Amino acid sequence: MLAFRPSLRPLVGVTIGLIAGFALAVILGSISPAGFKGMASSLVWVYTSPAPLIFTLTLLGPIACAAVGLTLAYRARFITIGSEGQILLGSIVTLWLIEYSDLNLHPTIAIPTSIVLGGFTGAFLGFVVGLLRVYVNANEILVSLMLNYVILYILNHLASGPWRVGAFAITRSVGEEYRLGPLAIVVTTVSLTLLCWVLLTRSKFGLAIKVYGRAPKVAETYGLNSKTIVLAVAMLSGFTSGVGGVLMMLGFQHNLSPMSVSPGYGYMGVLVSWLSANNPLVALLASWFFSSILVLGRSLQASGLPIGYVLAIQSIIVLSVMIARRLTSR
Amino acid sequence: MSIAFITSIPIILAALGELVVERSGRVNLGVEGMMAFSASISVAVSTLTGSPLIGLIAGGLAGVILSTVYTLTVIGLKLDQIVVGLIISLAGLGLADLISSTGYRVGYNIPHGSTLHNTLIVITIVLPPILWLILYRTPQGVELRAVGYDEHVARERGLRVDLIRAVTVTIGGLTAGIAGAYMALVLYNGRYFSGITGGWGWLAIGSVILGYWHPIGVAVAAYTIGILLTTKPLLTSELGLPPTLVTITPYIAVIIALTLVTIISRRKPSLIPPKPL
Repeated sequence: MLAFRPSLRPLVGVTIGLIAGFALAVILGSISPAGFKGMASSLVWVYTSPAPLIFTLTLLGPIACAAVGLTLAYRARFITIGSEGQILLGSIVTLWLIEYSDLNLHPTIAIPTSIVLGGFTGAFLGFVVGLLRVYVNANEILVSLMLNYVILYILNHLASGPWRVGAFAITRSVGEEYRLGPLAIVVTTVSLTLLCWVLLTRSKFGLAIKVYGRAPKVAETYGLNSKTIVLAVAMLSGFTSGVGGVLMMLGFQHNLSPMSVSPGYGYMGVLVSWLSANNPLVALLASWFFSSILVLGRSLQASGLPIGYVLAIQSIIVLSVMIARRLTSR
Repeated sequence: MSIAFITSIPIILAALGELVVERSGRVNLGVEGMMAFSASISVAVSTLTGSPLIGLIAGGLAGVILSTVYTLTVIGLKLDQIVVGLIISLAGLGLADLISSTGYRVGYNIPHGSTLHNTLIVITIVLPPILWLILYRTPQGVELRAVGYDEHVARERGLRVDLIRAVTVTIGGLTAGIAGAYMALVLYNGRYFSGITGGWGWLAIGSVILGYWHPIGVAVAAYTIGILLTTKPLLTSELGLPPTLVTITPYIAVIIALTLVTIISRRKPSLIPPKPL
């Protein structure tokens, strides 16, 4: 179909898909009150100014943390969508630890503790999904999605009830001294990415994941325990998403209020994983790209572009890349 | 007509459509997005035309349009059905918000007790038995299920697998579309707001499993979930249960159902459902 060298074809496909999808999404978005002019000028602003660049690094945290953990899960064909709920849970326990637990920890202790706590609660949620998949073969996609709604409603309950302060349904905010800047977020995110990358490419465990994902029966013949692999990736992806929730709370969210729609960082992580073909390093880069789309969407919110459209832009891009790759690989 | 039944109509309709898709051996996880998209479209079109009926039809067509994306990419290009389904869900939710941002948030509603509403109620009641007749007592229905049980054997026997699946996916899109339009035009009095579907599309997919891929079972399962969704005020005021606990019950019920299904199919292997998921 296309006269490129075969080795270049996937790259050409991805590029065509990215451009076509992004263009389509921007043109569709022009029907909003923000208009084509608004979309175009914001697009230029996001990719040429320093302020949005720094903001992309802040928003990158939850998206990338979820995505790099999911690359491991998806390699093992454990299709969890639970990152959304795990991120929310991570942010809930962070807020609890710092503002509602009466422990009054010093920031130097509180921040690492919240990262560990958020990570482990996320891992626990992943463990539940993994356990149901391994022992009763319950479909992990639906179970994890249902849990996302459960966590969302628990969050709404906390924010409008027990944790509410003042007249509006909003919780206390984490103190200035606990908040994380872009640098700390990037360092945490990059460390997690490298950890996942090393696990996947430089360890026996990573090899086991890949073998199991490609041919579960072969893996079992060679003595790999499928239950252990699934449970491990379920917990690992839960852990990184939970840490993503901590970064969301300490990086830019700072407090909680009831929401009718989940913020979507976990779903973005899912899309990023697919876009990156489950490679943690590519996923980090793709997360940055998606984070820039989120900044674009947020900058246009005041002029009337619904924030929910951000996930649509990203979905259209991923689908467009998948189509382009399929068409160019024939 | 009981309020619980009126509330569960969108879940029943969407679940029955998804049942047809899954019986043909595919799963479309885009139900939530198709419902949201059609809810938004139905409100916009009912505003533009002044007719809730045309709004409802437009909603159905909106579902069909999104399901066509699935047909082209999953059945045509053989892309991963799980990935595409979730993408349709996420994109549909966003596109729905985009359409309503152009100013269509309040349209014309379908009043309770109107002829149109009563027609929809009757359709929902008669659809499960009719669907059972079609699936189990007509050659087309048997072919459809055969495709779901074993695609390769069905193909060997000369069945047009891709065509049958394209049809079932379109039916699934239509029912999800009408379900979404119903939510906006009936349950929310002709309004659209972000997050209007609130996971009901996922509950519909859960009902398909909870009802064990049988039209009557699926309708009963969806109705049960509808009861759980409507009795929230009653359960909280009369029994003193915390509202959050009641809100999350349908979602927990689906998780429990997912685990029970496996246990049932282990006990009775003859009841093994089509395995799209």
